Amino acid sequence: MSEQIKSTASPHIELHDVRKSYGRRVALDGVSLNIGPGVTGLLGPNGSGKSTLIKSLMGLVHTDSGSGNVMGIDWPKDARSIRDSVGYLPEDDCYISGLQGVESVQLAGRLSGLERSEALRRAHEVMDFCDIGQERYRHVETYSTGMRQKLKFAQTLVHDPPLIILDEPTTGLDPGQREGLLNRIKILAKDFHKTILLSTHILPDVRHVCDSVVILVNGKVRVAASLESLSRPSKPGLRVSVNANKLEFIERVRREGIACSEIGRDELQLEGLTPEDSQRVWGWAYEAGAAFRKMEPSRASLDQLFMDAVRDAPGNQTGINNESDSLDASNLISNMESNRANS
Amino acid sequence: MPILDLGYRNWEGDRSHRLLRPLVVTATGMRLVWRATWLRRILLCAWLPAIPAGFGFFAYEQSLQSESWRQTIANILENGFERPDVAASFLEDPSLARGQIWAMILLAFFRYPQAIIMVVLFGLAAPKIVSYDLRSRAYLLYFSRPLTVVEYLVGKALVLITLLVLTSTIPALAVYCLGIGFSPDASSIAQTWHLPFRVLIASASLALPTASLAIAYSSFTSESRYASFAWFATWVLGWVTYGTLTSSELMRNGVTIGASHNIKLASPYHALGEIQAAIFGTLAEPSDAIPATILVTVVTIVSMMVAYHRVAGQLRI
Repeated sequence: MSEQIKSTASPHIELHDVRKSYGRRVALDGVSLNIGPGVTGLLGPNGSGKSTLIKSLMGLVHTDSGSGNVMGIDWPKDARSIRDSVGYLPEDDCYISGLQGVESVQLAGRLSGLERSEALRRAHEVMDFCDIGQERYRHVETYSTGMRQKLKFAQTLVHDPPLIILDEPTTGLDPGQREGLLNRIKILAKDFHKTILLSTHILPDVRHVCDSVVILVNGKVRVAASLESLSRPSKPGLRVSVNANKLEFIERVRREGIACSEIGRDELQLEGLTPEDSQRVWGWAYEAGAAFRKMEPSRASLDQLFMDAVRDAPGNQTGINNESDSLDASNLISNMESNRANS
Repeated sequence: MPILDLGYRNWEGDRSHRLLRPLVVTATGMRLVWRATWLRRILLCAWLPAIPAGFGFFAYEQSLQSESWRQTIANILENGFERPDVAASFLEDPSLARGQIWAMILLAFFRYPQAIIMVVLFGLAAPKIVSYDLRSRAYLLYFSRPLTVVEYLVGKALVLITLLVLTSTIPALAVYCLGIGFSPDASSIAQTWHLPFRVLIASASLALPTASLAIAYSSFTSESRYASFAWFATWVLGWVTYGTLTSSELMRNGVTIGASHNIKLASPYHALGEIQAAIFGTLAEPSDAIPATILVTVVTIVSMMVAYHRVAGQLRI
C-alpha cells in the first residue's frame, strides 16, 4: 500500500531503493519514499529500521545503496549539508554536563553556524516557545526527563530548520506537556510550513498531529499514505455509541439483516450503512428504546492498520502473529487514549 | 496564561563557515574545564618555572661580563647537563654560545617542569573530555549538526592543546622575549632568531601525541576515572621501567637491553624528551632521536584511529 503521500506538493524527502545491512542483518531493504510538507508519522515495531532510516537521512550512517534528495540537496552525496537544514531530536537523552539549559541550546545554535550572541538570543526565543522558564539557568544534569525533552526540542529548533526529525518526542512527558508539544508540532507544520518526520510508537500522537503515515516493517515500507486515505474504511458502516438498551438495539438491527458488532464498551459497528441511512437507524433506536451518545461514519483504525501491516509482513519477527495479540495491543492503545482523555 | 506570547519566529542570518565549527567544540570544552578551580590554580602555577628559566637567561648574560658566573655556568653545563663539549666552547667564547645556551635553558624548561605539569593537567582534564560525551550521549548533539567525527576530535584535541600552549608555549616565548629585551646588544636576535620556531615545534611535538593518547583513553570508556588511571599508569610505568632498565646495578650485571637511546623508548616521557632535545638542537647526535620519533608517530596515529573508531562506532548503534 504505497503511494506518494503528497501528490500536490513537491516532495521534501525523496529516497529511492535505499539499502543498509549490518553484517547479515538487513536494516533497510529497498526503501523508497516521497515525503512532502506537513507532519509525517514514521511508525514501525522495534528493530524495523526507523532509527537507521533517520540516521541514514542525516548521513550519520552510510547506506549500502540508494539515492535521493532531501530539501533539494543530493542525498547521500551531500548529507553533511542536509544536516544544516535539519533539526533532529534524538530519542536518547543527550546533554553536556556542566552546561546550563540556555547554554546547551546556544551551543546547538553555534554548531549550526549561528554567531555567539545571535545564538544566545535565539536560544532564549525558542526556549520561550518551548515553555522553558527560569529553569533554563539550571544545569541540564539536574533536569527531569520531561524538561530534557523540552530542551532537546528547543535545540532542534534553534537554527530554524525547514526539516524537523523527531524521534519519540513525547517520551517522558506528562499529559499536559505532551499536549503542549503536539500543539507546537502542529503550529510549526501549519503556520511555519515545516516538514516534520515524527518517529513514534504512540499511535494517538500520530492521529493527533500527522497528515500522513509511513509504516516500516523489517526494513521495508509496508504503508505510505495520507492519514485521511488510511482512515477511509474499506467498506461503508456507521459507528454508534449506545447509552441504554444496547442488547435490544442489537437485536433490532440484526432483524433487518444488518451485521452489527461490538467494537468497544457501548460502541457498535453497523456494517454496510452510510450516513444517508441515519434516519432508519434513529427509527430502530426508537423502537428498541435505545439512546445514542454519538453516531459517525466508520473509520479504519490506525492501530488495526498498524497491527495488520506488522502481522502481514514477510518474515514477521515482532511477536504480533495472531488476532488475540492484535486485540490486546489495540486494547492497550485504547486504554492509553482513554487515560489521556481523562487526564 | 501569558500576557504576551510571541510564539515561534523564523530566523534568518549568516552562518559561520563549517571549518570554524570545531572551534565551537573547543570553546565549549574550554568553558567546562575552566570552571574547575584546580585547573586555574595549576595554570597559574605552571608559569612559576618560567622564573628560573628567566634567571638562566640573566645568568648567561651576566657571565659575559663576570668570570665567576662564567665558571659556574660551565660547571652546570658539564655536570648538570652532561655536555662538556658545550661547556668547553662556552668557556672559549661565551658570546658565540648564546644560541646553544638559550636553547638548553628552554629545553630544560620544556623537559622538566612543563612536561610534568602537562601530565598532571591532562590527567585531570582529558579523561572527561570524550568519556562524558559518551556517557550522556552528547555526541548526538554534535553529530546532528554539520560536524564530522574528525572535526569533533580536532575540537576536543584543541582544548588540550590550548591548555598546553597556555602552560608551556606562551611562558617559553615570554621568557625568550624577556631575554631579548634585557640582552646588551642586538646580536642576540641574530644568534637566537630560530628559538621561537623551535619552541613552537617542540610544543607541537609534545601536544599532538599526548593529546591524541589522552583522547584515545578518554574514548575507550564512559567512566572517566578509568581513563585517568590509564593515563597516569602509562607515564608512571614508563618512568619506572626506564629507571629500572638504566639503574647502574642492572647495567653492571650485563643485562643487554640495547643502547641507552633505545631504553628511552620504554618511557613516553623520555622518548618525548629525546625528540624535544633534537628539536632544540642540543642532542649530540640528532639521529639518535629517530627511533623515538618513529615510536611517538606510530602511537599518535594509532591513538587517533582508536579515538575515531570509538566515537564513530557510537553512531552505528
